[in-house]
Amino acid sequence: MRYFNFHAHLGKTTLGDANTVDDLVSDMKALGIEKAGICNLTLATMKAKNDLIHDAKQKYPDFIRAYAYLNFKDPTVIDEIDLRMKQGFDGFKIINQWEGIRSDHYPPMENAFLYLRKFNKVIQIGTGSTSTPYPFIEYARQYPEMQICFTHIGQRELGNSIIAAVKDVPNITVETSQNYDRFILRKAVDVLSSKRVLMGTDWPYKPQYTETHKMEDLGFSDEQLEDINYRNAARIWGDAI
Amino acid sequence: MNVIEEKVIDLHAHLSRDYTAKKYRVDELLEDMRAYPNMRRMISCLDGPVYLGNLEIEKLVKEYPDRFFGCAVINPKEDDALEEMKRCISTGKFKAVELNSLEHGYIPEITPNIDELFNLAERNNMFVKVFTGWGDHAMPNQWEYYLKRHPNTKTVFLHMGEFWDGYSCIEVAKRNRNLYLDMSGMYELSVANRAMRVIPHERFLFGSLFPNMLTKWSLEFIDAYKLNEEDRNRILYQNAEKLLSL
Repeated sequence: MRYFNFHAHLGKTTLGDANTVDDLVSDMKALGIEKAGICNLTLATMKAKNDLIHDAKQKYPDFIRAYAYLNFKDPTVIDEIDLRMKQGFDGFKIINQWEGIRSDHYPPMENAFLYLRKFNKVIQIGTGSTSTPYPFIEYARQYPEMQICFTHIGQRELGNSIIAAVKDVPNITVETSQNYDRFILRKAVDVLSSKRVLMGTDWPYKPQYTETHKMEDLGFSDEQLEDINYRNAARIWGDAI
Repeated sequence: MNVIEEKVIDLHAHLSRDYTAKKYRVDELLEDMRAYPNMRRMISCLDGPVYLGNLEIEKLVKEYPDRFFGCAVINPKEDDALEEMKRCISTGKFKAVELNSLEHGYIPEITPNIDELFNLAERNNMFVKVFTGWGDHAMPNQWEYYLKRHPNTKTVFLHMGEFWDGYSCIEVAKRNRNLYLDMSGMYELSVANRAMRVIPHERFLFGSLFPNMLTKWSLEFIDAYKLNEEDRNRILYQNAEKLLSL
């Protein structure tokens, strides 16, 4: 089985523990993971976060897939989007809760968010009870050209609701890390199909072995697991396999 | 079936119920236990009427006394909450009582009967398990109100506040020596590592969160914490043995 990790991080953890891109690559390779999509969450500014990821991709261009972290409160966000697209980033990352933004009502967000349509890159959105995914479902319905991925499948608390809500929104995919409810994980594949579920490990925050292999414990076919573990990521990133 | 021989006491697992057939999934539970012949498990039931769930747990403990410890579930909002607690105590099959303010929909600090449930638990050598995580009905800081009022009642915060309230749960644990931390569902390594650095390791307990989580995954989490053998054994069974007075 091949593995492309759709969701990981780089840089000091929320606990303050340091790590490097070499640590990331080493840990991933030990698990047989060939590529990892990353962003930074903990550096102080949007620019600093994305500079770190840019440097990582420069060092490991075949391994790293770079997501540009976006803070919609930052007045430079449009310039930041343009810069990172010129640098060859592979997608975007949004966790509005980290910036104190209400996704369901923050008018300044809309212009910048819809600006992303022109790039045809995946927009990875952190989801869970304090990071509501529901407003983005409406954007996805309205703009089917936008590729949106909900990380954590809304976590345990919102997983069932999200699967039902995005069932008929084909441009939304879900990512498996941080969701250990086997009934939700199973339902995601049964309802959305294996084409819309991606394996991610949320390195360095989660138990990496379990994150990499947990879908293999749930009785899916080899073909479904190949979709989840690497084919879908390759398709979204535009990587040949 | 891959059989794991390691000695384990799982302090947090549930018996689930088929809501259509109104049948408890005992077979599923026993099937999972077969893969872990040296695991003993504290079991409770949140599905269906509280009274029927507790009866089913009582039956299981009677039938498999070497495999299960009973944990009563009590909804303090119910008129007969204290009577049901006393009934469970009278059976001698329950070692703990579980309170779940999210599942039963109450705000802990203003809900009746909880003080008396803590009193009953302490007087009968039981401990109290409290669901924590998932928002403002079940935050560790809310339940600290009862830790302070009942400093001699051993209390377990399930899931360590989970992802959202994990760090604040650690602060509550630092202030309250009667608090133990169940690690089921605590997948956030930064939180777990922080907790291990500042809370005595005698206060951590292994839980599987079966059936929502696979037991295999919960044991893999313990591997991910990279503990030395002494701490691993403490968390997997020794701390639970003390709490259960085995």
